[in-house]
Amino acid sequence: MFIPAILVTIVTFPGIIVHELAHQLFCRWFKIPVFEVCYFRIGNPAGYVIHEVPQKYHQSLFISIGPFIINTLLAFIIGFPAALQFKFDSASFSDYFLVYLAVSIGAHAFPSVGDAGSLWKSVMNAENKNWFIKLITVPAVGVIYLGAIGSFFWLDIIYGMGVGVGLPYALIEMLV
Amino acid sequence: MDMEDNEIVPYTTEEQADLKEPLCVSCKLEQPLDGNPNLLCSNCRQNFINYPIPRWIWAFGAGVLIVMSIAAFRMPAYLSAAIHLAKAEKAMDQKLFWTAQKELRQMEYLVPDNLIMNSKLFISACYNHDLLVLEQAYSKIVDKKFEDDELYNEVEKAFAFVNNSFPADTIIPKKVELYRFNKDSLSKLSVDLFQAGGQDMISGQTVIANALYDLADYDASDKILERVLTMDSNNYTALSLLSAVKRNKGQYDKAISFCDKMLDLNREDVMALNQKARVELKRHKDNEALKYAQQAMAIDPNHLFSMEAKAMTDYFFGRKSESIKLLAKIKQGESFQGDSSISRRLEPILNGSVKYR
Repeated sequence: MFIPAILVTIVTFPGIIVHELAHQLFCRWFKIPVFEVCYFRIGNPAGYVIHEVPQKYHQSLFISIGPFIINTLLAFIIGFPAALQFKFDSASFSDYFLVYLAVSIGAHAFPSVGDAGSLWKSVMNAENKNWFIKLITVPAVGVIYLGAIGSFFWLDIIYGMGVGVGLPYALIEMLV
Repeated sequence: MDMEDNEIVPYTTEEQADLKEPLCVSCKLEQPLDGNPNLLCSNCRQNFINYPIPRWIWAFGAGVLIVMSIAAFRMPAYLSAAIHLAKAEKAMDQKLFWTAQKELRQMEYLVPDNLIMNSKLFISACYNHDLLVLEQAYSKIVDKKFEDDELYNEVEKAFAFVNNSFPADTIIPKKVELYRFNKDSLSKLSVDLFQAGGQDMISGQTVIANALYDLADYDASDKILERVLTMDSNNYTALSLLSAVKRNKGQYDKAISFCDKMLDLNREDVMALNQKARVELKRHKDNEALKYAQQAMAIDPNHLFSMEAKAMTDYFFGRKSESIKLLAKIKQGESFQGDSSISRRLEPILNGSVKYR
């Protein structure tokens, strides 16, 4: 069944807001000026944060992957108790809502191609002599691009479901 | 998406170079701070760092945080319950029904009316012959709609397993009570019942076989029970009684094999382990008996059958005071259950008035 990407974007809007807010908060924590923020819009990109180029490479890295950390954590914590209700077969309306919220937030955990581009440009320039940061950045950017390609195959939604619903079950299996 | 942008800078690089003293690109009043990509004065830089977050975003973020806090608060309890349920399911798959029941009871406080939990508790209690728990769990699943057919079938199977041990028709037990001292009448009653058939035929036969066992007519009891097992190979009462019959007939290997069949149904069946210990004691394999008694005690040290096996092995290992203490504990337990059959058969052995072997 073909579902237009714009429809998915609209339905999962809470994840986009959290994604952009995470970028902005990481900028604030690293004291990077922010010039414009769009938390959600119907368009491409669905949200963005325009900020100054960080002078430290680790700042670039964390600002780019910030949403991945924040969205993943939130999706897991929100989804966990709600997802387990399905195991007990006693999920209520609020549990369905929480699972929706968790999946929406998890689905937008992956940094965008724009994030990857900014990161690459910032870290892979000649001035940067920090090979460790470069070493981390290469796979990070690779994974982001793979994620972007994967989103054509619903990888972002699958990831959201995996973190919000699958991970609690996997954790239980692991602990038993 | 994050974008690193200099779009707010109204000057081109060339224009900047033309200015003798460049000003802040935002307020155009103050001198910019050095060492930053954007020429912003201290105040403007700080303002951009604290780029305002709209109220609706604060409200949205607060909502998400509240939801997250509630979720985080609920997480430990649900994690604990889910782990107990998963452990119980795993134990049930391995036919470790005592472990399963123990795990399920530990999550009962969180989801007391949950259908899945109570169904699994009911199944475990059936295979553990724990009538008290069985009744409690049954009251919570009776008349409930099952969406999981597999679970429903398991409940039905467990119900049938227990049901076969108790005749619904009270006429047969009454007749058995009437003929309880007459072997011939009991044998005739068995033949008549086999011919008549009916729903309660199998459970009725086990009642008759039990009465014949009490009269020490092991051959007659053996014959009835072997026939019952050809019709219902997993009939627990028949397996249990037959293992005792074979033990008393000196057919120890066969007695053990029936105990093993009981253990195939529930690997943590303390009654079967107790029976095995008693068979091994009877044939003077005391170390084997001790092993089974210890296994039973490890499963449930407060179960009357576990204590009986331990008391018997203690007695034959010369620990008589320990065995007497266990007998007292068994009597105490029996007073709650209203059935003193264990102490009645154990006490004469422990006081030496009956020679067990």
